[in-house]
Amino acid sequence: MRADWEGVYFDGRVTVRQPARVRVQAEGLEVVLEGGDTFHWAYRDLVQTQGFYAGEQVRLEPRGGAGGVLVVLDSAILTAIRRAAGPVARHVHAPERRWVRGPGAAAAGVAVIGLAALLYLQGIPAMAAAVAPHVPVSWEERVGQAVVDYMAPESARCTDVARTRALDAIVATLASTVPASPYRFRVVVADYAVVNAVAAPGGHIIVFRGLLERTESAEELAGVLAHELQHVVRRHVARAVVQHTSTGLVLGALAGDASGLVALEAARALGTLHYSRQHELEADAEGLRMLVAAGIDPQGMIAFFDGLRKNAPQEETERESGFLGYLATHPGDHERVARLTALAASLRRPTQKLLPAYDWADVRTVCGKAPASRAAPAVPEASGPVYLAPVGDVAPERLDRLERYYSDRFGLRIERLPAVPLEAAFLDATRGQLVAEDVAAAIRRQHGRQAQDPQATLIGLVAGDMYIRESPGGWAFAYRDAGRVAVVSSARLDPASSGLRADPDLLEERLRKMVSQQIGHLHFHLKETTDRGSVMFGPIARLDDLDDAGEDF
Amino acid sequence: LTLAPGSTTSGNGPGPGPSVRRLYFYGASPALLGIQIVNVLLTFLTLGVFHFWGKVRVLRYVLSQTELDGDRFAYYGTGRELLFGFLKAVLLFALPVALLNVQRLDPTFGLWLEAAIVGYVLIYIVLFPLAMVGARRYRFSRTSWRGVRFSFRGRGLDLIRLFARDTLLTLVTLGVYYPWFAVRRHAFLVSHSYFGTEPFRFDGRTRDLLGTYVRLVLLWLPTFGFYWFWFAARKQRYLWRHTTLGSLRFDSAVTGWRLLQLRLGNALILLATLGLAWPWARVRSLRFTCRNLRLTGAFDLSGVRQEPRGATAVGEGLAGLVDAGFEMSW
Repeated sequence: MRADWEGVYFDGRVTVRQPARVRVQAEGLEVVLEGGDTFHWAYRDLVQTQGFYAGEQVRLEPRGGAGGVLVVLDSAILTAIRRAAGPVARHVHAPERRWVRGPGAAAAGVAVIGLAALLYLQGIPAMAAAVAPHVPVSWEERVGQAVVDYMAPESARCTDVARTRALDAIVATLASTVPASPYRFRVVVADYAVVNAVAAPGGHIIVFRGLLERTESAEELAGVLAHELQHVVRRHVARAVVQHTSTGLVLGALAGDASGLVALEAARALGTLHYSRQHELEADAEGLRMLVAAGIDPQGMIAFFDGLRKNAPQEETERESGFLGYLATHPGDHERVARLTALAASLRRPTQKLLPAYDWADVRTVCGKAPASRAAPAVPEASGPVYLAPVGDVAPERLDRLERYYSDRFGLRIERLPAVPLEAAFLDATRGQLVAEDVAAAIRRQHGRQAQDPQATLIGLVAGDMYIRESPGGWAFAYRDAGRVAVVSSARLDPASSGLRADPDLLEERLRKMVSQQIGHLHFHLKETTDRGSVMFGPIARLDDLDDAGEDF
Repeated sequence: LTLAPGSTTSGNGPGPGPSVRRLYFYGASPALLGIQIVNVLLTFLTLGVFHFWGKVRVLRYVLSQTELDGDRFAYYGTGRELLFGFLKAVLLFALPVALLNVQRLDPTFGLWLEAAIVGYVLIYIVLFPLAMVGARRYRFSRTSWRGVRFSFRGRGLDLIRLFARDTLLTLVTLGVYYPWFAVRRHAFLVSHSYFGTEPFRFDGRTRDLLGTYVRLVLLWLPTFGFYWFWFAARKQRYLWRHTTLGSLRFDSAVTGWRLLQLRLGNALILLATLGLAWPWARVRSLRFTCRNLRLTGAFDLSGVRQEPRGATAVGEGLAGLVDAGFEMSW
């Protein structure tokens, strides 16, 4: 082994390079400078500050940073020092052991992934569950109130006293199973067609009209309420907040200094979805237990979720499996029903009928609108004749096709009336649109005899753009007056009107649906429904809604 | 100044000469990735404490792989100093910042919007300059070349004054004053930097850069913002060309096109790997800086004497908190 090395010495006072000869001895280094100056550095007083990586020069300095710096280009001197000095020089880097770095880094990488997964799946949820009970209830209530005010403003609440009392009774039955809970549970019914219910923190539960109308029994609604009550009791919102924050901290540590923000945000979004899935599963299982504990038949809950699944659009049932299944915020409905059925089977207990004194079909009309039954007849009970009244220029072929359609599909005979001339008085000049009320009045005037028949239905058809004076939004697809006259405008149904490629077939289909809706209301006395399979689906806010709706009553 | 500036010859000779020198960066991304992975693991296991030691390992590697005139730079910072600097910075400065953030999250907590605005202005006018000065003080004092340390001797209060005055002027003049602000800030940072006893000097004048700023304003929209790269390159070239150390003058060969390639390339690398390949991006940036930085003039630093300055790491910790890194100087 060589004992003599070429090096450069800096005295730490000026930047002058002094060539030096370095001799590796048992006790320390002997450094001989070009001018003849010689000094000794004991190994125990030496620190190595460079030369840990391939291609780096070796840099040795006295401990404490005072004094000179010795630089040797050949890293083999490190091995020589370790050999010559033994244990005293253990702190000097060993270049021959550098090979462990590759496998070491790989192992560290695996360990990081493992740790992160463990923390993510176990550690953080456990911590959130431990922290959440210490969030003050008053804080939750304040936040919850804000949520309720936002999602179900006073003006949109259904407050029918007698029927609301029935809902309160269900909540009270359920709440009796958690007597120690600090929350005061309240149900708010919001007059929106959405099929959903939301648990706000602090005990408020918002049930939307659409969901209420979907329930066939008090037990079904109790199932939904039990699920939502569990979100409140288990403080899922507080837990989600804690989880979201701590996930951010962990991921920040993972990335270190790096600006791997993309990875962070993507991973965090995935993470929160995952947690809310866990919470949904928990709310399902615990909700079902709650029902059983309250003596309510859990089959109602299962039937309701099963009904939701059957009515869900195709794409939603498709994402149950695989990666997309993981992405879905709510557990795949098929899996959900199966899980609940299995759980219910293991929890057999005596149950009794919920709200025996009430007629559920009546209770669920708390918003004052009778829902369309799930099993609507194919062609409902009808009243008198249906007339089609073109207003202005309407292509006769279009009227022919409509007439044929109703007769072929529903066996419904439609009589065509002569066209009502378009008058300048119908037009609102500033908006450049027809006034629906004026058009309807003109039809009424022109076809006085038909309009006076209390059994007849008159449907006006107009090509121009139209709006309703009484509720002036941007435009109207259709308008029904207080009597039996309706007006359908085809202007906005045309894809070309929204800047898309003209599509006569699509236009025709939309027109049929719009006319069918008027016939449904006036001739068959049907109500708007939240069932997308029906042509009576509504409200139609956008063309997408119309395109989603079915063609049958 | 991302690195302690200096110059490099292709040879090893220390003697004075008129040749052009540059910096060389020899680091490799796989090595940096290895360092980073181990850092992450240890940061995890120590509940975050190792973060500061990890930062030191990265900086030490980066500076040890940077060469000027045949000699490498060296970094002497320690994890311990950085940790305590961070803790002090948290105590002194981070609490008000955190309060402001809480306030922003939930306006019903009862603080007023006015207070928040005043708070943000204070952060900008007080904490940013303090962080910039503090971070430089620490990092320069822990960096050496040929056994001699760098130092930064500007005072935080002076930079705060500069920020307060120039921010106000910029606001009053609806932004017209901004180029003067930027150049004055840069001049402050450069002219208070030292290598041993030798100060860096800056002799640039704002009026030379006005055309560059005007061009940015005019061309920003027509080029969909892409002119920014050419603007930044022009500005960097000008700022370096007016920076000297003793008889040495700096020069920069950065062009807009090269800057665009660097930045877009890095963005793509980070996006494609969800940010995990940041060592590659960092190495690209370092190579870019070294390749484009030149030193001309007589390379004679034999008159430089060691004159170490003490510095705590509080500023470095603060810089980490308010995100006023070294890149701010651009």
